[in-house]
Amino acid sequence: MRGFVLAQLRRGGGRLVAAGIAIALGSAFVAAALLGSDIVKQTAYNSVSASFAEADLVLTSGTGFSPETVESIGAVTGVEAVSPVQRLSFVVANEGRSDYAWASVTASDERLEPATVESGRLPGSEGELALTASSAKRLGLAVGDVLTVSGFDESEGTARTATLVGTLVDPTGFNYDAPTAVVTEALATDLASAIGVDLYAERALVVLEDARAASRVSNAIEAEVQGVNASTVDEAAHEAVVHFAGETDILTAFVLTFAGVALVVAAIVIANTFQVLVAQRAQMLALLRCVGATRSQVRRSVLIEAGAVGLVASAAGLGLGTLLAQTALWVVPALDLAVPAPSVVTLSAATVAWPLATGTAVTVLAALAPARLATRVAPLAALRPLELTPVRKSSRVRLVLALLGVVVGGGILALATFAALTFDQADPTLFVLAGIFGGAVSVTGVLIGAVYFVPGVARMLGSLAARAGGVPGKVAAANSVRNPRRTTATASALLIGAGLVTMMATGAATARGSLASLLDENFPVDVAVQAPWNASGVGSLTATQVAAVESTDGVARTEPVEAITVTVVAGGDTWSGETAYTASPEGIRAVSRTGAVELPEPGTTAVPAWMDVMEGETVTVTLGEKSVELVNDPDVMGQLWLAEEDLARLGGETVTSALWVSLEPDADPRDVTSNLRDTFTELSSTVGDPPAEILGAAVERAGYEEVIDTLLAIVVGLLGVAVVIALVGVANTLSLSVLERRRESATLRAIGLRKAQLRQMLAIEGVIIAVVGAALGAVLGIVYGWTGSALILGSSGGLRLAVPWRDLAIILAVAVAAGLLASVLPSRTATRTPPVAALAVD
Amino acid sequence: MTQHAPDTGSPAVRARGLTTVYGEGAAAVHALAGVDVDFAAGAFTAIMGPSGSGKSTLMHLLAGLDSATSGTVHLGETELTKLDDDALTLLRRERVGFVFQSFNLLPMFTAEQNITLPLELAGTKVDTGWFDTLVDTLALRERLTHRPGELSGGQQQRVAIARALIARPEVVFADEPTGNLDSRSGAEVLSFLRRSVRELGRTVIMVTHDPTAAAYADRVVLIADGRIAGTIDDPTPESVLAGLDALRSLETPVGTVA
Repeated sequence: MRGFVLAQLRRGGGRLVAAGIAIALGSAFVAAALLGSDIVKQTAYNSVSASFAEADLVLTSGTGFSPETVESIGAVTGVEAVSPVQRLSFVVANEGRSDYAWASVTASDERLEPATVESGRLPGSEGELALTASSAKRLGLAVGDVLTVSGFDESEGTARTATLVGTLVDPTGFNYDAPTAVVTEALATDLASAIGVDLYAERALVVLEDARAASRVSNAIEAEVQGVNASTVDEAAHEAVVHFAGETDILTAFVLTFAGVALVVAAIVIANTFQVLVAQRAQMLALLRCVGATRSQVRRSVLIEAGAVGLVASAAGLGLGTLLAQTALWVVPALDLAVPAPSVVTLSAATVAWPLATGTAVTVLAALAPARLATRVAPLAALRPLELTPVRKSSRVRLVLALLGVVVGGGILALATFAALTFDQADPTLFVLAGIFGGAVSVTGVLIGAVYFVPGVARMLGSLAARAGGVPGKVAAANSVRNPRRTTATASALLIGAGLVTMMATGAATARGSLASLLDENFPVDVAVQAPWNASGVGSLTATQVAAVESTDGVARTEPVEAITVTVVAGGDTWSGETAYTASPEGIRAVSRTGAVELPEPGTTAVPAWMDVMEGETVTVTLGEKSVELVNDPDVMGQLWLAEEDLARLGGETVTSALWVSLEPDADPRDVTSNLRDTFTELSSTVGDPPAEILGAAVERAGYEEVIDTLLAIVVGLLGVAVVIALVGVANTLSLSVLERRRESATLRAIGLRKAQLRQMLAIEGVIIAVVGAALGAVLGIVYGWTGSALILGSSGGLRLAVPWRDLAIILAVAVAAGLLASVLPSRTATRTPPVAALAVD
Repeated sequence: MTQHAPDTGSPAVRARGLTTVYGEGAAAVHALAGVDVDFAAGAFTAIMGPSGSGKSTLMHLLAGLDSATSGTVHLGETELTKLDDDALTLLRRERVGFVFQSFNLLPMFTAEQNITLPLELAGTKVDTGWFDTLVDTLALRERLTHRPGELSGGQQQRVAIARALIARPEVVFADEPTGNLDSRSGAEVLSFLRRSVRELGRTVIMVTHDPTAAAYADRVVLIADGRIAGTIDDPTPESVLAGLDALRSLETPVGTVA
């Protein structure tokens, strides 16, 4: 039997290439995910161990390291040098600019100094200090300059001057504990006592006389010095990495989920390939059975073939994944990320074994059903002329399973969604979990039952193609539903990918819309430009700034909000220095998003809720000598608002504290806000106007949308692999069909089909299959996207179901393009068949 | 376009110096070694010869399905040997019909769709009168909505003949049209081919190795070792067998004849 398998592989190896590519992509994904996780851990390890300098042992102590403790550690036999890692945080300042420093004290032995000098030197004598290069740059300092160091509250006389004697290499990304400054012990002690804290060391580093004696010396230290815990550098770094690993593992699991999706899609492609191969080899298998091969030998031959293909493809995938990871490592240094990433990928047993094992296992599992089909080939079939195997009637079991999945899963999903929408106070986690379960079950049902509706949809699309595409269209339409199962499986693979992408896009669109409606309620205007507060209270926007805002692209209308500082008396309480606001009611309505913002009527006022003034109570607002008595009519805006007329009665000079801005309907708020920011930054540096704060729904929404878009991009990128595999599947199905229809193609050519028409025919067939998969995926994706959004966002209210039209158009366009692309190689094979082949008898 | 030419004087297909060589040097095989032959319009001609005689190669070249090493083929006034693939395709579509040994119907189309396929390819309308004539002559009226899988071999081959004739081609090439049929269905198919020549005025060139089948033709062209070895007019099974025997004795070295 092995000989037979090898012969089959040699003869039909080409037919397995696509299946191989599918599985290779899947296992490359697994390999890259695992290697990526390893690289992150390795990088973290490098970061942490760098902070131990050349130490052999790392000591920790719950009570810190006093000079006495350090001395007794130094006295332990085998210890050559010991240095406590003393830390202190303070503020470094120069000419009005300040920065936060997380400093360490110069190590007593230079081998134990974790900081690396970039220029200058480490502080040696009193009053000297080194800062990271970036910190020094922020403060505008050069080596030799004098700066101020102080505690966080400058008023308490903690300020000292120090000389910058060196700059340090910036700590790496992962090492959040790395010092950003190094000071002498004298300066640190002085500063610590001025601030009123103890100079504390929770760690000490030790160099040994003989590094090989690490375990003996660490035992000795633990025995002789009370409360000290000693570990080797390796142990300590590993322990620190475990801290990261938790987070890394979650991330890895997240990425592996998508690798799983890719493998499922690959499995469909493989199952399809083997199904076709078995059908094509029916006569040969029958012959084998005739000459005495048992059913289990036939089954085994298919499974061994699958195993061989799986193993080879997985190995290729492992290579591809490793190459990807290595490419990333080659790129990292160029990005200047300052992370100590390893320079080469290190393969561990796990990173090699998992991609190989999953790839091979998935291939063999996917081939189980085709293998069973192979055993069903009757020996008698060898004696009959080879006819196309009639399409088996779909079993009743399949129908029942599909319906069960859809009904039960759909029911659970519907109940969970209903519950999430109804009980809006409850924690939605339970509903979401139930919904995921229901969703998974119903999707499985849909996929099992795909054979009942995919061919129908393909037929519908085909009839369009037949009407528009002449003979090639007609033949393509008929061909696309000739093998309903094959078409279904191929389209299903794409359905999964397209469905998940659509689901994510729908979820993102819905989240965007829902957040927008929530924000509309909380922020009455698109953009509010708020002058910064200053020492004398509310700030003012300058005329230049107002003019600049008005002329910014995308700004439709602006309305000034006037402010003045007043004293408020109500219910026996007095609040002085409060800011009262007013604006034109018509103007405010015109710029507000909803048009429903109501300002207080003359004679009334809106007092912020924290003043705890009842509705209808009298409020006295005083400015200098004048005062007005108003009735409280609380408002949601959380500020003290007066009618224009009432404020006028107080006299006094108001300032334009804010501009309420409405945007053009087609303006992108992100562009407008970033333009506004640039404008203010520029005005601040040229004219000296203090930059204003930019608030409002549009700004908030821009922020949220950026997060949503980024997440969507990441998820779609990860799903991309599954989509690519599905497209390989389309090409695969077409090529296998082309091989099967060799004589038909030749006949069509003989009776007058041009080569271009033959190519057209396959292109149309590819497009039909791809579009069916993508369109059904899109429909299901929208349904599940909406349900998912309702589950997650339902409880927050303001759910706005949305259809991501643009994304759907892209998905369909990709499907059409992919269908065309998938037909390129099969077309080459098909057009190479000479018309004479029609005369051949096989 | 020539509708049909009962005038047997001008040949429908003409080959001159047709040579096909496979392989090179010492391994070269002459499938055809300089064939000169005319096929009369409005006649039913059979090409006969033993296996490997070159009869299939000859037909491929005459039908524009393959290209010769040297020599020319004319279909009417058109020299096939000068045409490129697209021109040959158009020529096959409009001026040539094929009947294959394995029927070669498209399994997903009905009999009617199969028959009209060449017209659809050409984008011309179905001439309902001609369609009806063909369907009635070939007795396919009851079978038009059936797919090939629901038809017997003989019925499938009749559908194939209707397909070959629907575009009123100048020549129909039939390659062993009875090879996959039982003798009764075979006889039926051959009668239809002969009727389409005699009653519908078509030109049919048939390759066969069966003397009984060849006897349905108006004329038999015998071919052996890539050369025309003779012709038999108004053949009978006996005369064809005799002709074949003569070929065989030519091939067999004299000394070994028992």
